[in-house]
Formats: sequence, structure tokens, C-alpha cells
Amino acid sequence: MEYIVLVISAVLIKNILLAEYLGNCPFLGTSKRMDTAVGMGLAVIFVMTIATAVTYVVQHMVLVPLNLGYLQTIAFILVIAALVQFVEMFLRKFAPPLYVALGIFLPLITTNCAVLGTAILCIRRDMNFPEAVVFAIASASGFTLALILLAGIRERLEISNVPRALRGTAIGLIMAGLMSLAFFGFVGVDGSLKEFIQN
Amino acid sequence: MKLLRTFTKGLWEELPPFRLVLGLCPVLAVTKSAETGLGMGLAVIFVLTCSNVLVSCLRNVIPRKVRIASYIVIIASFVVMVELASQAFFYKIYESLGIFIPLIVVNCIILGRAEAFASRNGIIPSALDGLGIGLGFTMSLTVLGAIREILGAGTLFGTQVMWSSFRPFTFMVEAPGAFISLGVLLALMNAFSKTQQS
Amino acid sequence: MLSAALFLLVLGLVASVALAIASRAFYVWEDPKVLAVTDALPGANCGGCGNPGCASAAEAIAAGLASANICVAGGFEVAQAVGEIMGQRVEEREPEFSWTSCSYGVGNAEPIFSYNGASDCHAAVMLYGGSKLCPVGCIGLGSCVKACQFGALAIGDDNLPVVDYSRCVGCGACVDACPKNIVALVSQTRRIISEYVTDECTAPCQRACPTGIHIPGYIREIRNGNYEEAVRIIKEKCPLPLVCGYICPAPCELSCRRNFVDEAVAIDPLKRFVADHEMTTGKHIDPYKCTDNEIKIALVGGGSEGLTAAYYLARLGYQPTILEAKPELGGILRYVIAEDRLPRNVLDHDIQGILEMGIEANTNVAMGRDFDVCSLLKDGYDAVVVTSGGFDSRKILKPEQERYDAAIPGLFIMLDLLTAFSQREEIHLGKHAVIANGGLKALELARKCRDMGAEIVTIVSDQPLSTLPVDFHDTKVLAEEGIEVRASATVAAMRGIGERMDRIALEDKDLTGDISKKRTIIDADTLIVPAGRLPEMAFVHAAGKPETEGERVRWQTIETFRTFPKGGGYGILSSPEPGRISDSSAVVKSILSGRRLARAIHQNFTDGTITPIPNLVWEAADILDVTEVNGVNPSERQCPTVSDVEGDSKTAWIFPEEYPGLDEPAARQEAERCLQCGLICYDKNT
Repeated sequence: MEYIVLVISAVLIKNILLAEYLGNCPFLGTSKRMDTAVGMGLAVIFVMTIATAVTYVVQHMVLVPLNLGYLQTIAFILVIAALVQFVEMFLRKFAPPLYVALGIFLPLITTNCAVLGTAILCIRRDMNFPEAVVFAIASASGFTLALILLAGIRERLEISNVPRALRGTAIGLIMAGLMSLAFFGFVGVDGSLKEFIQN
Repeated sequence: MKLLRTFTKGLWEELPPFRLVLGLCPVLAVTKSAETGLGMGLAVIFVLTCSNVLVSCLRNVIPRKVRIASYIVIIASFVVMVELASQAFFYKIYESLGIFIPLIVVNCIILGRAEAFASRNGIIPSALDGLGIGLGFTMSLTVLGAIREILGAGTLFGTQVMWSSFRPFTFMVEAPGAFISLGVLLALMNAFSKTQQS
Repeated sequence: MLSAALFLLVLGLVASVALAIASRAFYVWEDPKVLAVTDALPGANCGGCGNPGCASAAEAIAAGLASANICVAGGFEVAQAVGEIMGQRVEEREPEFSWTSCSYGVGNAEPIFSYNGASDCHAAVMLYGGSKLCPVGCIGLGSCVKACQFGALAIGDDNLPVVDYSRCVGCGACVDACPKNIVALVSQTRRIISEYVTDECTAPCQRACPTGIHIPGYIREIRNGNYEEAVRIIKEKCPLPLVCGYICPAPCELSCRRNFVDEAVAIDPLKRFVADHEMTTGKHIDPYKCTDNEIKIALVGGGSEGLTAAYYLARLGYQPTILEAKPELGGILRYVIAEDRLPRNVLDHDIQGILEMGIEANTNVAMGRDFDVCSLLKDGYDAVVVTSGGFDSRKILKPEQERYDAAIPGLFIMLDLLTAFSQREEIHLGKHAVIANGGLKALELARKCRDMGAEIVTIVSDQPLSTLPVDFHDTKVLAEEGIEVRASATVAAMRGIGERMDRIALEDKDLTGDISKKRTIIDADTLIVPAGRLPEMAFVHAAGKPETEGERVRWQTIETFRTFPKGGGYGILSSPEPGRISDSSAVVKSILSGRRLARAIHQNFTDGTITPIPNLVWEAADILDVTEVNGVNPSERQCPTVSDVEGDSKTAWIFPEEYPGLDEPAARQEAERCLQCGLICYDKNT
């Protein structure tokens, strides 16, 4: 049951984009059009889940036993970079349609701080393995949700009379701010939910 | 003269994150106060300058195919240094920057400068470029942090600057404030350069 | 320290080994051609080729589903590079460019409301079709600009799109983005053969002009003192500017909007003014000409229609040859119209200008005597066009030893036949004769044909049986006589071999006048047409390429025009606008039919079939117009100063050589009177 709380918390309350400030470059970069937003979102879900699982294993099976915790950053980024490339090749061989749909977004994800950030957050919060995986999926879904919402807004903005200075990224940021404000409304939901489940 | 320009362009013409809209996550996350902004900025200056120098040194050694991976390793090494150093000497800042210190690795500005500038230029220009861009970044972070701190908490670098009856806009130090104040600053920059041009 | 270094080494090693293995294990074979073609393509993913992007275009090219030159954005160089990879020879495609037709932006045009919504043309059009009164006007919110990936479009100061031709690659993204068809993709060829349609912006004078000269356009150039450009605009639609300047009845001036205020703009004198200017410079101003091809066309008849058809064919790149029976070119213009009205040096000047486009002309050669359709087709011409026009075409009969035969295989004119019958001359009719239209006279003629030896006579009428005279109704009795009636049908094509026609294609027409592509082919040896002159006809090789049986060539006719306004006609004999296509009542009308012939030939050799024009602008077409003109100050129409030597100015009106035309200040002043009309817009500050 606590997984439900974890998911709701990661998607709505502590949304990785709107509350945790992670993955903002692709958030603003790929939210101009709906179809790219959907592609990017799916690719992030895919990669983030695998990356979190693999880095979790690396942390607990290799770094901790060898007492090399301080190499976490460098080890994780290497693992993620290699993983993304591996996934790219794998998809190309075994799931060409998926590769065509997600292909161009995969390289972008290597330097997406949301992926590395989620992996590190799982470790820092002392989650166990299933929790880490669920958290990764939920965070990525939250990312996708925010990305698609913003893409919808920006498609509308495209045809609106936006003051010249605000056009482009500036209005995108302000819209993200308003969305973030709206997501603030979910604060506290997790606590009550926890109480509700316990009773 | 040219070297000077390499340095100064980071302060206005290519001022990150306003002109190069890159590396937004730390900008949004760590500008809750001027102090954290400054701390983050200094960390970025260090990593950016060092990685630029090293990339520039190795630019003729690294094979093209694995260059991005190599840059990431170089950057990551310096980030680990910063991480350990801040943990040891500035624990308070280390605490407040939290996860964003390791995330300097994936800050697009650093990788972007390595790829776009350091891999094509000599050591001294690369160092100056790193310093300039880093300084610009620090400046932006500090300014943004100051604005958010003043409006959101009524303080600047921890000291009260607003009148005592001032009710802080708490949302300014939260995520929405970060997005909105960055958006407004960006718009002001745009408007300013427009008027300058005309 | 050591363990850290070792760990990183091992991690790097493991990662690289894993990736190396993966790159082998997951190797996907890719066609190197696809990669090479993708590299050669510009990578703009504009979609102008019809594929979703450059990569899929490359796949289509490599798979042989698309030709190497499909990339419109890359142009000839890219096509050549792709062709080299694919081992294909690439021919240059005619460049296309985007073209905008609206000339009064929001702000200058008549509004119905002021729009303040989303700044997107599609959004604006959803509200009553846009804020302008004009239904075809530009919204000016720049959807086309946003669609352009090459930065070739911008919205100018007057809220109209401006095309930067140096950047436009002709991908057509703007055309798809425009909700109003303001932006169109045109090539020079398509502009040359274009016809006006009701949903584009045309000025009333432009619509009234049978040739469709862009009158506001050339008057604007005169205003700017740019006389050469003015002549070029006129020559886009009219190869005889000076002749028209002298003798055109100027229907344009009747529909000039200035008539609502004072008096029409002196459109025709202005045309003469710039054409005179061209003549005094002594240099012919050449309009755009496409790259030459090797298709040879023979035109029988060197009057204004033949000259025009040859002019347009030459501009489209064909190799036209005019064959004229008289000693000199010009037809009615030279041999009928009084020299007083049309000085011959004027005519010579214009004809010379036409011939300079690359036209060969043979005079003193006559159809039926020196050559006929088959001999021309056999001599290497790819098409033979009969532009005998309105003048003395009736006696195109071939005198043979005992009887007359048709100079055009199997084709007779009703009046010829009746005359010949009354003089008891023998005429070769064959077994099966077809009479097209002809009213009540057709029945009489059919019986005469039976007397003259035809076994079956078919009367084809484009009218339904119920509206035909009662004599036609008793089909049973007529059938016993050997006369068949085909109502609601029209002759679509003639086919034959050598000097004989053997088949006729009939097309059924339903009562609404729409085309129902119902073709029947009947055996026929003779076709008798009702008019007093030959229709415009074009003959080509039947199989699309020369095909002979012994000495004889297989041939067929092609359609010369097709449109579908309600009740409009089609086929080779009927005119879509009664009294217009085959009308030689004014030189401008022959120019129109000449151009349409060239269009038919061009479409035959490019698309293989003639495309119908929906919503064609013609005299009876329903079109939006204004009924009053407001805010325009009256001003006096400029007349030429007449050198009145004997105090009798009338002489000046009769003898044009003494009639000097407008002088430059008068012409410039007159050009200022033009309201620069659009469909309903006009310049209110004139």
C-alpha cells in the first residue's frame, strides 16, 4: 500500500520537474510540440527505470562493499551513458518501431539530470530495490505528465499574442511556474492518504 | 584583445543561462538564496575552468568517437573533487545544495563549452572561456538568488533588508517562484537587448 | 586510492567491452545507399516531397519508389548527387516558388469586424471566414511564415506575406498552411498556362479582358516609370501588345470601376503607350521562356491565333513551326483590317517580337495542297495544330481528280458540303458519316449524305432528345432510313490512320452538364461540323509516339479545353464559353484561344491529359464585385493631343498614323487614375 503513496507523491506532490527542479533543459527544449513531448516522455520512462535499477545494483553490490562511495557520481554517469547507448542498439535490433519512435531522444537523455538525479535520490533516501524501481517509474511518469501538459500549453501559446520580449523560453518558464503553483495544491495529499490507508 | 573578449563574452553576450538557455536545473534549484546561488556558482567556475583546461590539453589525444564520454569522465572527476571538498570545508552549503553538486556533471553548459570551445582552442583561451562563462553563471545565480531571497524571505545573504512589517512572498523561494522569476528576468533581458538594438 | 583507480579501470573496461559486444550482437544491416542518400539530402525534413522526412524520403528513393529528383528543397544539385548514388540520370526539374496573390492587407481592405483573437490564420478564419469583407483576402497573421522552414517568407508592413525568392525552395509548406489559398506554389510554366478562377483575386478589367492581362499590374509599372516591366507584364498574357493597343475594342474599359465615378481609365491607350515605347527603343522585350525541349509542333495558319499558340509553345520550350498559305503572316490583321486602323509596321513589329521567341514560319504553303495532317506527323512533327481561325478556312478541301476530299482527314464543314452538294460536286464521304449538332439542318444533311452514298449517318447532339425538334423523335423511322440520333453526347476525339479517319469517340453528357466520363467509340469515316469554320484542333500520334502501318501514320485528336461550369461544354467541337473560344470577333479573343491550344498541347505532352479548370472566370461567372465606389475624387480622362493642322480633328481619329497616342506626361497622369482594384478592394486615395 505504501507504494501508492510513493507513486502519488512522486507524480503529483514531489513532481521531479515542477518541485524537484530536475530535467528542466529537455523540459523546455522538447515541449514545443506535442508529438516530441510524448516521444521524449516515453523515452525518459524507459531509460529512467532501467538506469535506476542498474545503478542501484552497482551501488549496493560494488561501491558499498568496496568502500568506494565517493565514486558514486562518476560511476553512475558512466553506467548511464553506457546503458543509454546499449539500449539504443538493443532497441534498434529487437524493436525497430520503438527505436524509430524514441531513437532521436535517447542521446539527449544521457545528459538529462533527471535520470542521474533520480538514481542518486534513491540511494540518498535509502530505498530498497522495489521502492527504487517504483519511484523511478513514478518520477518518470511525473516528468512525462508535466512535459505533455506544458507542450499542450505551448502549442496554444504559439498562436497567441504574447508580448515580444516574453516569446519563446520566457513565457515557457512562466507557464511552468504556474503549473508548479497548481501542483502545489497536492501538498499534504500524501499525508492524509497515509492516514487513510492506516485506518 | 581577443583573449579579453573570450573572457568578457560570458558576462553579457553569451551570459548563461539567459543567452544560452542551458543548465537550468541548478539555476532553478539552488537560487533560494543569494548565498546558495553564489556557492553553486563558485563550484561551477571551478569545474568549468578545470575541465576546459584539461579538455583543451587532451583535445588532440582523445579520439573523436569517444570524445563525449571522455569529457563526461573528466567533468565527473572534477565534480567529485568539488563534492568532497565542499563536504569537508563548507558543510552548510554542501547540505543546501544537496543533490545538485553531483548533478553538475550533467550541466549542459559545462559539456557544451567542452565540446564547442575547449575542444577547438588552446589552453589559455579555454581557461578564460571557462572563467568568463563560469563568472557569468555565478553572477546570474547570485542575482536570481538575491531577488528570490529578498522577495521570498526579506533577507539578503541572511541579513534582513526589508522593513520589519514586510510579509515575505513565500512562494518565491519555492519552485513556482523559481520558474516565474527566471522567466521574467529572461523577458527583461530580451526587452533590454531589443531596445539596445533599435 | 589504488582500489578507486582499479575500480574505474574495470568499470570503463566492462562498459566498453559490453558495448563492443553489443554493437556486434545487435548489428543491424542498413542499406549503405539509404545512408548515403540521407546524407545527400538537405535534412530540412520539410515534407515537400510528400514523405514525412528526409530519412523516409531516402528509404523511398533507395527502394525505387521515388525518383532521385523528388527533393524540391535541394534543387538540381541535390538531385544530381542522389542520382549519382542511385546510378540514375537526373533531369532538371523546373523550379517552383511560392506566390502570393492578395494585394490589400488587413488595414487597407474593407473590414467586417476587427479581429483580436489568437494570432493564427486558421483561428481567424474560423470566425466568419476572417475579418475582411473579401472572402479570398489574406488574413495577414503569418501562418505561412511560421510554416516556412527556410526563412523565405515574412509579413511585410502592409500585412501581406512577402516572398524572398532567393530563399524559397518551393517545398509547399506555406501552401498547406494557408487557409485562404493566398499562397500558391507556381512554376513559370504553370503561370504561363494559368487561367483565372473565381476564388482568386482578380480586378474587373482583368476578368473582362479575354486574354486576362494583369491590367492593374502594368498600370502600376507605368506609374513607377518602369515601362519595360509594364510591357513584360502585358506580354505574359498577350503577345501582340502594340496591335491590341491600336485595334482592341477594350472590353476592359467597360468594366473599369472608374465608370462609377467619372470615366474609365484609358487602359488601351496606356497599353499602346508602353508598346510604342518598346517599338521606339527598337528592342523586343522578351518575357520568361522555359528551357527548350525537342518536341516539334506544326501550326496550320499564321493569323493571330496561330501566332499566339506558337508564341506560348515557344515560351513553354517547344519548337513550333507556323505554316501559312498566304505570302505573309498576320491573317485577318494583315489582309482584312484596314491599314488606316492598323499600320503594317506596327503589325510587323509585333510579329517580329513573336518570331524572336524561337518560331519558324513557312509562308505560301497550304493545307491540302502542299501538306496535310498525316504528312506533317510523318515529317517528324509531334503534334499538328489547326489554327485556321475565322478567316477563309472554309475551303480547306482537297481537290482530287474526280471529287473533293477533306484536307483534314474525314472532317468537313456543313456549309462546304451543302454548297458542294448543290453544285453536284462529288465528295468522298465513306460508309459512316457523323454529323455533330447542326440543328434541324442536320436531318436534311443526313438524308443528303445517305443519297451521296453514306450507309449510316449518326447525328450527335449535345442537347437532350426532348429539346430537339420533333423530327428527331421518331428514332425508329429514322433508323429505317439509316439515320441514328445520339442526344446528350458530344464528339470527344477523332482517330484515324493515314489520310482516313476510322473512329470517333463520343462522350455522354448528363443533363446537369457535369462530366460523366462515359465514352463510346464508334466507327466513322466522316465528321461534319456545323460551324462556318473549322474548330481548333490538335492532332498527335495515336500511341503517343510515331507508329506507322506501312506509309501511314496512326493519329488522334486531343481535347483542347475542358472546364466544368454548369452547362459548360467539352469535347473537341464545343466551346466552354459559347462564342468565346472559337470566336475571332476581336484579336484578343483569338489570343485567348491560341493560348488555350498551347495549354492543351503542353498538358498532353506533360500530364497526358487535359485537366479541367473548375470555377473558371468567364463572362457569365458568378463573382463577387462592388456596385459602388466611394471616396475617389473624379478626375479627367487623358486624351492624346491631336495635331490639328487643318482645324479638322476628325482626321486624326480616322488615321491612326496621325493619331499619336498618349505622350509621357499624359500617360503618367492617366496611370495615376487607376484604382488598382482587387476582387473588391480598390485604392480609395486615388
